[in-house]
Amino acid sequence: MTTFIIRRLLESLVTLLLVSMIIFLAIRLLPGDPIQTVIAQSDLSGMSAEKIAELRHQYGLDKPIYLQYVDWLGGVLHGDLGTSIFTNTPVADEIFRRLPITFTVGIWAILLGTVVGIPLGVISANRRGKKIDHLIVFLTNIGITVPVFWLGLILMLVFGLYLRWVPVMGYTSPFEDLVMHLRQLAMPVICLAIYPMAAAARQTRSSMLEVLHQDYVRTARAKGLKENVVIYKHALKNGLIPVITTIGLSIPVTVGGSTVIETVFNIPGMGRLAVNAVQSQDYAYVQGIILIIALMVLLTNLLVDLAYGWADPRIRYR
Amino acid sequence: MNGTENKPLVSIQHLSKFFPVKKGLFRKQGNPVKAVNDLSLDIYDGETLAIVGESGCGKSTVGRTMLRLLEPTAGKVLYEDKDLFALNGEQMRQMRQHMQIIFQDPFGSLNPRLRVKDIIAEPLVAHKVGSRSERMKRVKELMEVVGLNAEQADRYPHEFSGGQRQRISIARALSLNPKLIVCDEAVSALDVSIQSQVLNLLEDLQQQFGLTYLFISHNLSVVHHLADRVGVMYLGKLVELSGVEELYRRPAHPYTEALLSAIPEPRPEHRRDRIVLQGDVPSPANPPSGCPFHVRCPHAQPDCGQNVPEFREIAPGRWVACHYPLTTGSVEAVHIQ
Repeated sequence: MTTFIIRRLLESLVTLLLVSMIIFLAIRLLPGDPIQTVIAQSDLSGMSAEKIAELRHQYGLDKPIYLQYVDWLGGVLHGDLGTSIFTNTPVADEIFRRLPITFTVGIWAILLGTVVGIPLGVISANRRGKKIDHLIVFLTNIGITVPVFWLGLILMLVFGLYLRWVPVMGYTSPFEDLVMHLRQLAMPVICLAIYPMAAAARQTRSSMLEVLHQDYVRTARAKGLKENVVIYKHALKNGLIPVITTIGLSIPVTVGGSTVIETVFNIPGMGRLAVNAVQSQDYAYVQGIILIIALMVLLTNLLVDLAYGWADPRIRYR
Repeated sequence: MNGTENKPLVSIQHLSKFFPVKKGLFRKQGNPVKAVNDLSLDIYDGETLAIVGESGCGKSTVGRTMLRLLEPTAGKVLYEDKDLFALNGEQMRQMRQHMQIIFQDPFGSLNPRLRVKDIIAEPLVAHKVGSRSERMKRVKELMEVVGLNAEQADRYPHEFSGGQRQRISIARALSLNPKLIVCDEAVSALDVSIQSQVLNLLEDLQQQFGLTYLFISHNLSVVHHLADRVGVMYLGKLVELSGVEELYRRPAHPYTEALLSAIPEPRPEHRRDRIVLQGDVPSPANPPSGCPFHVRCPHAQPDCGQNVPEFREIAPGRWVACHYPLTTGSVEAVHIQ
């Protein structure tokens, strides 16, 4: 197990290195010039060519691209993700200030999606062909295809503007006002939870339908176990591996969705920071954010692989 | 229904199990598959009653429906005069202490997530039998009884061979001291050498605990070795029921005769002429009129296609569903060729 984890972490480092290279190159291939954007935004249109060159030199943008990459990577290894050319502040500080906000929304969404999605899948499989099954299948198909931004706007309209049950947008720290925090997070969390919920429900249904016909489930009934023990202990636990995979795969989708949701609901998280950084071509922020997201995805994949061993004792880690 | 005077442990009365078939774009109801069709038989305390027949004849469905692992379409199953189909969920759950099942696949019938000790102890937990330490003691006893090392109780099923897994299934089935065990093709998936060990174990356990077996199989050699009585099924119906020796020596139904002729016999003087049945088994969703076997029967007469033969007793303990049985008790029936 330890060997497996060490090997996977080393593989993750290689992946991170490749991701960092790709993103470093990709953002520089975008049309436009960040220095010109800074000048335009700061009303410095009369700046001389010498001053512009000095500014380029200050941020290392006059060096060859491979040297820029080596400098940036050296900084990353020392915990320095660079400095924003717009705000002149360290990228790491801002990312780690906003990361807990995105994390809170994301974790609530995944939890809600899992806690609601899995039982829905179980109910659907248990009542196969009945009206409730058709309804759940129909709703999960909608859940997987519905655009997050559209759902966000609809929820805002209905629950925020018409019914006035929850605030339309904004974010309050739970340490400041827990009730307000929960009220403000309700809609964004539901929006983000829809996809993992639908995906988990669909996969659970599919796995359960396969497992419910296994002899060990019949054996469990023959033993005289209560039906809920048969369903949850014998059937569901054996159908969990594909469900764990689905939940694992829905985490990057949730991270991607957070960029839209944070923009729609005006949440000062990493997603909104990423959108702003891409729009203004703030290289340092884009690189830092994507590196952190890649790290989160890789760690999630590792956790998913470890969860397989918990779900099925036949799986051995080498 | 076997000519025995004592009361049956289990009485199956007019049991039917049909599976609905939906077809077409709008999932319209088609003809149901008549897996078991109006089957009646009695199982007596301490005996081994075998049910044989080709794949798909409904023999496994009988065992599963009888234990209400499948819900019946019609009929009754009386266990010690209690109608199992009239019981509610909780009452049926309690009744499961008295009847257990061993499935064919030793790889599929054990939960891969549970340790062997938990698999065997789980029925005891479900029925609140004994304390934790008493249950563990019982698990170890049972493992020894079925020929497994009790020190392996902490292992998972995938760490055992097929034969060992089937022994675990037997130990699990025995844990609640049931009276009746349904062996649903319990040795079919095992190697021949392992089969004989498991069959001997089943016989020993029957002697030791006074068990009653409903032994479902398609292997007539195994059945000959183990059974006291044999029921032969064809297309969801019982076509013959008889003591094992009478049935093997002188089958009364042409289908039984054909099945017996297919048993490999190493001694040339004991070999029967092989009867190769023509055509395929008809669909259980659309069985033939009259006698279900008439379309393949080498002895069929014109009226066989019109009238359904009654399942009748032709000699004490010998039942057959045939208009022209091959034997009537001890006298050979003459057939018009």
